[in-house]
Amino acid sequence: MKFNLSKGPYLRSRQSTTKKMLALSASLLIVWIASIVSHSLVYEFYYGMMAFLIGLTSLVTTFLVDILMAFSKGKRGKEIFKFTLKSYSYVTALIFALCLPVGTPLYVVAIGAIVGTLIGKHLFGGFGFNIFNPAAIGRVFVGLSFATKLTVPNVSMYDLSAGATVTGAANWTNIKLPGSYMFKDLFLGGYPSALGESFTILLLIIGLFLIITGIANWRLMVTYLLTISLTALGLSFAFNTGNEIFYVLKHVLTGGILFGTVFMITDPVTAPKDPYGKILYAIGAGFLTMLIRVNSSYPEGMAFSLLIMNILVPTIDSLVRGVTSRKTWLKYSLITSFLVISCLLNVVIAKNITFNEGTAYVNSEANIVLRGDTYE
Amino acid sequence: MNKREIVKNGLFKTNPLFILLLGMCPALAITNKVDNAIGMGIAVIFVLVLSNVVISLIRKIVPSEIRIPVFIVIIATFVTCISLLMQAYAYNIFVSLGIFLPLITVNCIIYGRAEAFASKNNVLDSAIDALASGGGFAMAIIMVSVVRELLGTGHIIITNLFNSDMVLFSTINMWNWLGNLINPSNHTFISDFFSKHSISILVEPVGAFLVLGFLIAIVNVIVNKTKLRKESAGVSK
Amino acid sequence: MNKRVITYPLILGSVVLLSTFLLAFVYNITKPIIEENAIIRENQVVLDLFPGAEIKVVEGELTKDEKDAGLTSVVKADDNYVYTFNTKGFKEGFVFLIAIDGEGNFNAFHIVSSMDTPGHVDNVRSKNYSDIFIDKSYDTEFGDNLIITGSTYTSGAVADAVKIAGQHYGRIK
Repeated sequence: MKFNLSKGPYLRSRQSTTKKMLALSASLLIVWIASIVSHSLVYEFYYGMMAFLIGLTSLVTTFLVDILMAFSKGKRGKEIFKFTLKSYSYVTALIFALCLPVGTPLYVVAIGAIVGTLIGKHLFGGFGFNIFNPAAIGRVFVGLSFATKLTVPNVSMYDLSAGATVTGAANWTNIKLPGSYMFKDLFLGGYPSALGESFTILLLIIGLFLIITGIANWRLMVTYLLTISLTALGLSFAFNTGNEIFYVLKHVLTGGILFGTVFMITDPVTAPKDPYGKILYAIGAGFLTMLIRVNSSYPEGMAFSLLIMNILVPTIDSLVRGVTSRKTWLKYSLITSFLVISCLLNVVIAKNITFNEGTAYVNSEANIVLRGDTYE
Repeated sequence: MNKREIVKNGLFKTNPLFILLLGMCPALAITNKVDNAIGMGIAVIFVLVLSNVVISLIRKIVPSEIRIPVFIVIIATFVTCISLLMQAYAYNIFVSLGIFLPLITVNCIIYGRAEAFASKNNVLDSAIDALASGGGFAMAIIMVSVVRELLGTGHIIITNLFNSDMVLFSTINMWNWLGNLINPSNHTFISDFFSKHSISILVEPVGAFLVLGFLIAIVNVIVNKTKLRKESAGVSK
Repeated sequence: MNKRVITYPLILGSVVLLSTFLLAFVYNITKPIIEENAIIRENQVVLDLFPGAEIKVVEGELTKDEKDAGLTSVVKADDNYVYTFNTKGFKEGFVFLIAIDGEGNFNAFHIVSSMDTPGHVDNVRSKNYSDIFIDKSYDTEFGDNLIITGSTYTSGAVADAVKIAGQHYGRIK
């Protein structure tokens, strides 16, 4: 008797990549529409239109890049269309556009989209082969090159000094938010930020939806948020900020962290494949995010930390090979100790080193804003 | 090997930077300004020509067992000479090249040419080879630096190496002259536009990797195309 | 006996010797030019402050306090004493000049280079800041007046330097 073994995989999920990507882009579309509406309500109709145009520019540019790449690969006719669809560039384009502030000039959006898709994705071999998150590559490139051009209405350049818009304009370590803000603003937005970042209640709902449907990995999201919350709690105790819960919420809900948690860190291509590796990856990203936020002259570290951790993914993958299925006690104790170490390290560094006097966390002026007086 | 072939090899066919990928360290580190690239190019050509000539002269006296220490002494001598000369006569370039000037001593191009060519060929051929290879390297790093300075700062300013106050070429002046014809009341508007919209990351080290990578890719495309054309021409004959 | 034991070191030695001669030759040519240029560069900043002044180096050992505060050189431009400081400030490489005129009043302050955040340097560079000690006598006690909140490190270095410059002036007077 002869057994014919077909090639793996044998276990098939009903979800295909296309379906997952469609659900993801539908959620991104909702966030985009919400940001258009909220920008026209909070500021004026003109900014709502700009929010729409930024997304459109990013989408069109990435499609053009895709078509160009298809053409250079020798595809003609219908194959070009197929290649463009299979690259799933609309997801990258929307994520990239939604982490830009509304004052970004459109040509900057186009340059960032080209760099993100061309260098971040196609030069590594296209969708599925990229080692860096393409949207994060575009965001960091734009943030480092055109820091002064990423502006938010009603915030003067003086407030945005030190390139304050790396992934989120709203950062309380060195920006004094103009006007005063209510507690509900933490959830509903309305303070200066990037397009998709401030409407956090919507992001939370979408995140929950993505977890329940199994489109996004819950381990990445939960561990990342846990690391950041723990570190924020540690910092809060170490510096006597008072009102600890409020302080932690402010760290998690302002800036690009929640948007990054829902849409960027969960990117299945660039994250480690192993569940245990995913947890280590998220802890590392959380540690670096807080390190950059609190101890460097950059106010936001979401995209940077993601790119740094992307480099380490092969190392993590080889370290945890085969660990998932055995040695449970070792696994959990390692995860706990990593969490504690990352929290303690951040606190110790913040206590001892001030990289940049004036913007540093421990500076008394910054502390006044940190205590959340403006939020109450 | 005839002389025309040597020149062609050094400049294009085996271009040290684009084809052989030698001398990457200075090519990445000092190419943020065209001035620096020109200074580095001249220094490399100077060291390469002199060391090649000397090594070619003594190639029959020096036994092969001790050739490496002899080469090191000769190359290091010429590098020290040019760094002293630059400190005396071209101080600004000396400062901006910094550590990368003494590091020419360990530049692979110079060892490569000494080992592969000068120790086996006569003096005239070695000198021509050094000029061609050095020229190829200088051309390559100047290309990288032109792209980086133009896109990164929005302008290119080339000054006299021996007197940094003397501007030989400046795109700012060029645009201002053109702007004066169009709108005399605000003649700097074109150069302002370019410096306002520059991609500053290209002047950073990251930009060096990006620009060099793209240039190498373009050169490889051209090289492959010409190879294919030659092969197909050979077949049809 | 192997012949190579003698010939190889001989060849290597002669190459080294020839190189040494060449280096000595180049060194002797360039040395006076390099030294001359260094002096010109150093005096250039002083000449920017006091155009056309005649510059003389002030002789005498510096005390330990003065060296600790980063005082690197004292020159006399006409009647003015110009003190060059290279201090740590916020970050290594904070270089500035303080000048005291013949009557013992501070009359110039100039920052050559600083690695601190530009905003903090601008606070110290502003006229409001230098007006605190310009035209005051060298023995004035400034206390904390010279320290700006927010730019503590940078302004602190200047405050120390003003004190040290006054001390040095009082010592050589």
